[in-house]
Amino acid sequence: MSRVSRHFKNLLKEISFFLFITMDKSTLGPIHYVWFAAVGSALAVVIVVLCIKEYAREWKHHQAIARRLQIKAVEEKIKTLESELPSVNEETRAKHEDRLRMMKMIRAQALAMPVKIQQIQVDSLKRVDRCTTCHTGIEDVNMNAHENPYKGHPGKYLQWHDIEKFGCTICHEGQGLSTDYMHAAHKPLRGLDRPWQKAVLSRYLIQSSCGKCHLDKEVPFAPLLSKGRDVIEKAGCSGCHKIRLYESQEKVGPSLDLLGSKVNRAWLLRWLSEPREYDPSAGLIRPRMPKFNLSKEQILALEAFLMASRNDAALKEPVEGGDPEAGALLFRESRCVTCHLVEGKGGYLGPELAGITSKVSKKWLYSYIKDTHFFQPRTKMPQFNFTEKQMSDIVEYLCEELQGEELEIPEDFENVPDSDKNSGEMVNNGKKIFMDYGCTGCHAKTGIDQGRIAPDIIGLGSRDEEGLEWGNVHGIDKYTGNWVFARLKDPILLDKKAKMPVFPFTEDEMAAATVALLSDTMEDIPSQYIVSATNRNNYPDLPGEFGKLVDKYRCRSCHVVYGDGGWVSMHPLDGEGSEVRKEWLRGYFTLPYTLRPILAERMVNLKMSDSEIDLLVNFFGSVMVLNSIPVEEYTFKEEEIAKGKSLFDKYGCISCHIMGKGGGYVGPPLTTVGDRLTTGWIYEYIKNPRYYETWSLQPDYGFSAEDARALTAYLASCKEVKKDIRISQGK
Amino acid sequence: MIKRLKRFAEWLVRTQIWSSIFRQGWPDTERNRILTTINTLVFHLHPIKVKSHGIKVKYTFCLGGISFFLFIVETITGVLLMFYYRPTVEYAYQDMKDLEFAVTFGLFLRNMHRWAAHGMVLTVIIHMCRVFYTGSYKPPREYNWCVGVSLLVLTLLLSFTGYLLPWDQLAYWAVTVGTNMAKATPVLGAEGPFHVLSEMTDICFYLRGSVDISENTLLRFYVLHCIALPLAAVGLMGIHFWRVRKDGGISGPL
Amino acid sequence: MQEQQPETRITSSDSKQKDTASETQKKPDKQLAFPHLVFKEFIALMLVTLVLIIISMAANAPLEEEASPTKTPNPAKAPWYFVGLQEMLVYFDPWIAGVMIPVLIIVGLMAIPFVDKNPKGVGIYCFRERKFSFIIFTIGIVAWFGLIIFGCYFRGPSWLLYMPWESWDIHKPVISKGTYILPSFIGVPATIGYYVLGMWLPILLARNFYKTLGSTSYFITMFFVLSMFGFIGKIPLRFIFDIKYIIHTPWFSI
Repeated sequence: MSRVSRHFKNLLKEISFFLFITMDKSTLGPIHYVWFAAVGSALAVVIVVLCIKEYAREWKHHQAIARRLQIKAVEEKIKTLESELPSVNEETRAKHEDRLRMMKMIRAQALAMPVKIQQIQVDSLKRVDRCTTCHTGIEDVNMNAHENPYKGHPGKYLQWHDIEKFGCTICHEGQGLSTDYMHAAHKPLRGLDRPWQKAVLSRYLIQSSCGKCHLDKEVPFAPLLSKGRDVIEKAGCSGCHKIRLYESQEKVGPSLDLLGSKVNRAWLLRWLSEPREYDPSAGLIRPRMPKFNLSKEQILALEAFLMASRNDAALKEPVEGGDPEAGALLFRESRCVTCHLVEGKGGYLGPELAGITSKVSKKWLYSYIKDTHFFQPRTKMPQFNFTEKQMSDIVEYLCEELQGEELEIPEDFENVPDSDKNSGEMVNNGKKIFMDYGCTGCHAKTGIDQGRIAPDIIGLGSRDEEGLEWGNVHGIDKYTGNWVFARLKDPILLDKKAKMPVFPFTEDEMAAATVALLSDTMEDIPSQYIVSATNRNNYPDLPGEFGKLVDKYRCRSCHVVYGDGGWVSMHPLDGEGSEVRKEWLRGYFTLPYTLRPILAERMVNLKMSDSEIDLLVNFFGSVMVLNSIPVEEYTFKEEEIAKGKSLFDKYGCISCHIMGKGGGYVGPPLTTVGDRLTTGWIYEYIKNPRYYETWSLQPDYGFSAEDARALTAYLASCKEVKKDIRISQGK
Repeated sequence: MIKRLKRFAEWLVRTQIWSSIFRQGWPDTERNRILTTINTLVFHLHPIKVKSHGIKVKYTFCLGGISFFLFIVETITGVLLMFYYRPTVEYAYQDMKDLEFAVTFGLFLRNMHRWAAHGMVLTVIIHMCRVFYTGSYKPPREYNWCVGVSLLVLTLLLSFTGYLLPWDQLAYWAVTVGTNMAKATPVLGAEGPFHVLSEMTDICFYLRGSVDISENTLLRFYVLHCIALPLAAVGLMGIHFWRVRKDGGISGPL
Repeated sequence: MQEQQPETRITSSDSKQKDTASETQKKPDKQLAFPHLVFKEFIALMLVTLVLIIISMAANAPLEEEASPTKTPNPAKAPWYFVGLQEMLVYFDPWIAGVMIPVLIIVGLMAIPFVDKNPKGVGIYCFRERKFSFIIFTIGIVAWFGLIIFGCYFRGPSWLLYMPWESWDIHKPVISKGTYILPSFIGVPATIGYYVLGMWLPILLARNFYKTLGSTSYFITMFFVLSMFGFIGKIPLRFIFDIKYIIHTPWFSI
């Protein structure tokens, strides 16, 4: 033992020569050499590990796999092409060989592709995205079947948005400069060392990015966003909040002037305390009135205030002898259900008519139909040109067929002493509540105008989560999206003092509205990226006689006219004069029929006078035209018509359109399209379906001018000659 | 084997190349060792002979040496980082990301710079404690203690100015909090007691180069961090080391 | 962290060193700097490098989102070495916490070698021969690091008190920034009394202490010592009696 240790010491002594240290009379013992050796070798190991770690980056691994997959796919194609080669006939041989050569080129390219970080720099959007470093096959449609990150981008989104021009993070968010999974913020990491707010958007929120550039209400291929924008518009959020795109929206509720003459007290009390009781169906169909967090005293005060506004002298007694059967016929003929619900079916613009008598009196109904715009100056309902008898008939029908039970004042409110009911103090209290709770956001009331009472929610998508009021709630991840959703679901949950009422949204509608609200990120998007149809000339108030007619018949409740109006009809009327023939239009105004049988919404019969129809038809024909469509009708040869018919059959148009007896219901029937549309419009529309209506479902077949002319010729020849169109003798 | 190596070493020190670089022979004799200390620039910071108790790790814990070494690490990594960094609002943060994800060893360099900086602040403070607890500030070393305190302040300032450079939220708000204190300076600050200067002329404004933290601040901190403060620190360090030797070497009972 | 290993090395290995340590106090024997000191320095240097590399590989330097002046993080904390001062902001106005305290600390540190007249305890860790300075300095360091630890780990959003294991999501009532302002007929005499008594009592009770220092050094020392205890002392005053200001004037408040 001792000999071994002596030997060891000798050895150390020898080695110490090279370390310039002698063992004798030194404070350094052998342990120092051990330290030196241990630390030194550990250092060497660590440096090697460091280099390996630096070399073996995550993205290199992904690129290697992606390349293997790509080469494999290409080689399979080459193999099949080569095996087919002998059996190919002479005609297509050259083409085939070209394809083979192309595939080999792709293979060579893939083999030679350097392993490096890829990046897309988009200066105008101030973004640099390295996502394609790992997602190498994102533009490759052949890679769609693979898993992420080798997968190709689903859908045609990259065809519409050139990846070099848009990058990735403008839509997906996340940290574009990063090149590994964690730091690219594929998942939002909260509470860890990097609390990123801009993590990659989940599929529930991704559509909010579309709304950064797409400012139209209807965004193609973004159903959630479109629905959300619809919800925001219908719910009238902009009455109380300032919201981007909705700054100039009108109040969604009816005016509450003369409410005392309109409704009875029992109904109003029930309505204020529980709007849902009136129609418990969820969703925004009807009624849109949200439920406010009001106490019984507050409701009574509000009721006193609202009922105090009345003018009973303005109500007129209906003429005697109304015939409910004639009324029923008129009710159907006028297409009232286009806007009104009857027992849950119908349009959403007007209120439910079933049980109407429990709310309003017969006298009021009659007076309202007679003089609609006196009682509701900003209603969407047109002023119908009924005779007094017809009005009587329809009121009789409504009161008989759609009668509702007589409501009683709810129990809680019964015992209110009469002296309190209409005292000035109570009315004043009611007025204060009316203003405090932002009733003015939806309802006009003469003499009360206070603007928006709730905070602006411009740029909600870029809000800092920390700055939002989260209240004392556990179990919610603190993302702005969750906050918005929770606020919509139950405003009091996060903020006890919130005055915001509970809206009758379904959860789907809440989620959609959240997406739409988050789409406003205040980002500085250059104008060339913005997609918006509303950059045409806007005329909020149309002048002249035409303007008066549009106002009287409230065309803009359903149609967009010069950039303003509702979207019940998906067809803006700005170019209508170039699209339809005058004769057809005249007939259509006299007796509207449905153009698309599957739609519930139909043009209402307004019972216009002949002179009004003349004015409208002339205005349409001379003013509301598109310069790009020629005024003169084309003339066609017989063989063009024949060729057009064969094309019509070849492209299977009949699968969507009705022609003659059979056909599909997606597009409008074409049986008599020659009577309806001008040749110029048919031609332009076939050539370029989405030029005039970006949301059109009509496929773009890329017809040549010749084919398009032939099809136009055929369609223009589809007329119903026998039908006797009533042409009124104007002037 | 070992004998052969020894012979090789003896031959090596006789070659012209060796003797032109190292003026002395193989340092195994006392004479050669003394010459090594005298002739080598780095080693000649040391005296030829040191007191035995001063060599003991238990006594100094190498704290001053480690502080100095960390300063060198900071200098080397810092210079390398400067190749990739542009002190502008537009690029600063992007360059951080580039360093992290696109530059080879970029993230490692940044980590090393950051952790060595924290380590340096810590070792300098502990070094001060060590010097205090061993009474090494007592005459004749009063002046060197003061130089040391100045070096501590410089270290803190170096670290603080470097804090802003990544231009991320952490940097921005930490420096906001830090420089806000300057506003409260009596007389010279805009919000301090007896203030006479406006927000546009007070001491905080000159610190930041603007009312809020902006590109001016970034440039100011960058220049301070990379040039002014390191130069001052090097100068003071020179004095510090010089005085350690001139005041009688590492402290011990006189 | 880096210093611990050399320490264990000595204690575990060389039992011989203890005798040599006591020997060196009597007659300092010297050793050649090269190789004895240089060798140890080199090991320390390698060790620090090793630790640095390992830390740099294991932990990434923080990098948050790009700086945005509109998004204020809650809380916005200063770099750790200034968190102690930030914590003092709770108890004092910014001009004291942010300006006065750091200036007093620096000046006080620099004054140490000039007011410490005790010649004993040089070159050794020695408590018995310099109890007073030892205790005061230790209290200062502990308070400094205590405040840093408290500010770093016990402060959450809005600088409220959160335990390290508590989630910051929990809502807490806003702590009082102090409600009571002592009327000046109490506050001013109390402050003056604190300093006068603090300086006068030791003269009476520990006359020897006063004599050895001499009057100038004594008053300077006592000013810094009393100020330090004053700053620390206000913390319990705030917590227990909810006192906001001891002295309140239109120009400044303490």
